[in-house]
Amino acid sequence: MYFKPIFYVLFAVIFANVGLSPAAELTPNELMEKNRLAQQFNSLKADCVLKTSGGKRRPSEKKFTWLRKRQENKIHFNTLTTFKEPAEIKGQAILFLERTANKNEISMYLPAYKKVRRVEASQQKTGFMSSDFSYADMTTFQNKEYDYRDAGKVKCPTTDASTIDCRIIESKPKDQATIDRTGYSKSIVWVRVDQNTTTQVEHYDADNKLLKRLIFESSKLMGKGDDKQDLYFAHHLLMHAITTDQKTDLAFDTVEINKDVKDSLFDLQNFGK
Amino acid sequence: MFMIKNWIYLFYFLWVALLRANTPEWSGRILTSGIGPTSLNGKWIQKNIWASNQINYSLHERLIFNSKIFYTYSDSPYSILPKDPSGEFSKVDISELELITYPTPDKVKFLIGKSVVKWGKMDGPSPLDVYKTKRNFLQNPDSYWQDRGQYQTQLKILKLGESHWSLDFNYSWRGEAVDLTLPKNKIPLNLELEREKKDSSFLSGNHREESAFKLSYTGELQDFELVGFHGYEHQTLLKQEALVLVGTTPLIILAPLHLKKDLIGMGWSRALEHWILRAEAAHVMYEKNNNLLYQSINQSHFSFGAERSIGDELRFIIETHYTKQEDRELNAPSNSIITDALRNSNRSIIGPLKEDRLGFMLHGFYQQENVPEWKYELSSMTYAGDNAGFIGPAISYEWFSGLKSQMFAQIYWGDNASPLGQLKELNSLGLSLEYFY
Repeated sequence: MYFKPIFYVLFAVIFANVGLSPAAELTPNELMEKNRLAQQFNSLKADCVLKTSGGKRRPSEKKFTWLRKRQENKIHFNTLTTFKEPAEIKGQAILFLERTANKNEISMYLPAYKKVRRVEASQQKTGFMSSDFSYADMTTFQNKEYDYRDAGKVKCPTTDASTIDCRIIESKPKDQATIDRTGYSKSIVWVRVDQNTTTQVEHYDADNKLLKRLIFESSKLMGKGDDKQDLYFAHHLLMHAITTDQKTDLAFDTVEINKDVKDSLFDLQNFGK
Repeated sequence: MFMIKNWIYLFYFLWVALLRANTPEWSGRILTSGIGPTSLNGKWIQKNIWASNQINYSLHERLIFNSKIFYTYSDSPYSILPKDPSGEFSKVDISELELITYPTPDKVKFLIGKSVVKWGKMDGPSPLDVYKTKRNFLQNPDSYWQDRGQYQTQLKILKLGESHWSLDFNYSWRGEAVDLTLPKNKIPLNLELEREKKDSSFLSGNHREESAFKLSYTGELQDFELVGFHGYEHQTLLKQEALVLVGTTPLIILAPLHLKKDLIGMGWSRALEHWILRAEAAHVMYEKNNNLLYQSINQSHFSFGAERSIGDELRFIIETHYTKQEDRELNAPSNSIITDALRNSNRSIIGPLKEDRLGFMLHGFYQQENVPEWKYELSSMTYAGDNAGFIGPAISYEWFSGLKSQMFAQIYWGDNASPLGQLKELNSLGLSLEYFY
């Protein structure tokens, strides 16, 4: 009769150990899905400063407002950037409409011409407003377009998360169209385990050479998502173009989430008159 | 002579530029340029100053006020008729003054005021830009920002979803004057301007009512629009004095002409992997006019354009425009005919018949990634039938954010009777300094 409680204890210990074993860790796909959900805002509005420096070019600074709204499919986003400085591009707007199957649309409103101009797909891998971010970098990456592989676990490489564990995930596009659109044949992603948010990404070109390193800093808890998951947002992004040694610093200020944002703001027809 | 009032205007724009920090959403630019050598008017250098000041103010979440004031000074060898048949030219006008409201933001937008409306898809001249607001006398490669608006109301109805639809109704009750540009040294002494009886400002024929609609569709990677317009084509009419006394030189009278005009057209654009394609087609019908010089004329316009970038550095646009004249008997006047008539006032003022016209346009930009302060630009246009064309290379350098200078050339060639060939005397080099605030 004394065996019964011992059996229960053993049973509990065995299953507890199963729960603690490495096999219970999230798979790369599960982790990247959690990573996606941690940024599932219905809407986001911020004032941004984009600073470029390094390399041979002259340092520059641009200011713009960033408005992002999740589409009804809850996967894709529409993003509108409207420039405030420098004066020469004041009022210029860039609209990003995310679509399936690598058919993201980018359009520009040029206030001097009072006209809207589309941007061809091949231009999406070029610099966003002469920065080291590409137009494709300004959109969200769709998990189903990538294969993920576990590449280990280390302390996070960024200074503000150096004491926290990070999972390293190797991400490869499933098809050539994604490589053509982004210009990246492979990316290595560091995901901090406490928030499931990205702290660093390294992008590789078609020749498998390191092209860019993107660091996410000042990640802050912003609220709860649809599934009561925590929502985080990195307020500071630093992109380092390795081959040219150029750097772009993107800082977000006065960030507001889940406010009422009208769909008409993302309508091409509404830009001009 | 640079008059005192010009200094006052200039001071105003500089003052606004300095005070902008205290007033939200101010913006503007001041551009001064010198162009020479000019063979006209005996001047080697012609001076121009243009300045604009724009206020964009959100009075309320759903109510926006927008205004743009524009100042011009020029001692150009070209006169801006009828305002200033001789001497230097300067004026301040309101280019834009509008209120925009969103009664139900995702469904209805309403605009009233003086507004610049551009519906054309093309980079070059487009018949779908039914409200012609562009100044036609400025000589600078980048003159789009100098457009003047037309008084109008606009109701936009939106239907958002997977594909976006919108329907615009525009009603205009008054527009801006259509200026006529002529070389000062070619204006004959016997030219007189005829004033309209009901309107004190010459050539402001847009006081007549005009209306237009645009139905737009925006789908995945492409958009389409259908445009209709009922209004006027504002032209200038040259006529000889009816009663001529023996032994006197007959007067040439320059009068406004408002041809009734109806237009139906469509525009399309599509983003491909490496190209942006654009196309337009429009049919224009002018009314019969009893005046002997001007008979009805129907035109069909077809345009096709393509735009692409190569890397981060080179971007170019190529366009072809074809205009088919469906009534070849007599034609509406063009500036070239008028200019030609004025230069040779003893000749007939009826110009040659216009043929179908096929034009080509190339516009390119080059900017090296590592030295973006240097920018190279090339504009060119040529018409197959006229043996005439224009080429305008430009190099600009940004000294610091907000201040840039530009060196540009304008080279015209071709027959004197053609719209571009008649400007050969303007072939010159220019230097400009521009400040944005």
